[in-house]
Amino acid sequence: MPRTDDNAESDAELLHRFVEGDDAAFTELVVRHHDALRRFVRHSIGSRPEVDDIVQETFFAVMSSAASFAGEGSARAWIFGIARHRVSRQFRRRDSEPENFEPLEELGLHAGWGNPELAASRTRSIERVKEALSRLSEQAREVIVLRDLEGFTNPEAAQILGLEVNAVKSRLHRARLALMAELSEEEHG
Amino acid sequence: MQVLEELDGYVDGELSDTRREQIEAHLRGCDWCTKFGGEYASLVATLRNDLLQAERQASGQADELARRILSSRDENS
Repeated sequence: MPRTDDNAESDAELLHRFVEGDDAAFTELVVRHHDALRRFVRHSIGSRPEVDDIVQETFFAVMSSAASFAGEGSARAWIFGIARHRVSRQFRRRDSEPENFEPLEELGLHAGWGNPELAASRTRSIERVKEALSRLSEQAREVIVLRDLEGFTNPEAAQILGLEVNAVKSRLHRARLALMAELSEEEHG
Repeated sequence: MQVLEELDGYVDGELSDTRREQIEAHLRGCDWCTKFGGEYASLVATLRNDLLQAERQASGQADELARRILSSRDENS
């Protein structure tokens, strides 16, 4: 669900125009994606001073490698994938970090599954959701930000994260349950 | 457990009509599945709507950044 006007030129078309020498197309790409990319990087590394540097480096890389975009997959996902690679490189993130393999049933129990009291209707402020999100593992946080906040589809998120679509679905489910568990723990100690 | 496993497909609208109807039939007869599913869907809606709204602020930096990047390329070419 790219958050752009349906009638707008596609990102791939803008990249193509830029490669053909139209700088205005590059400016349009930056304007279109800057703020979402900045949110994504900020959720990945927190509110560090490096956020804007990584966004800038990402668009530099988009400029210098625009011709290499082969048109396979989403151009927007390609741009976010570059940003993610920059974050990984700069913060020496270990992509091979093991996934959380806590059995799904246990994750569900922590989130309130099967417990009518925990599952009772709750009101949540945005601030509390943001704080709970910030306490999740980086893997969990990034899949929620990509899918729920930025509206990427499962195949696009898979393209950015370098995962199979089924792995994205599984990671997203566990991440959402972990977020519910964080919010429940906060409410019930 | 099966409902728990399929909650994302339900919330994200990715289930077949038949499977969705089966889950909805189960939810009608299961109070705590309904409550949990409602909470789950509500959290996802909060992330998609309210959180995005709270964080959507135009930085106003994009035009300037594009100009700097293009100028830097011109200076180095």
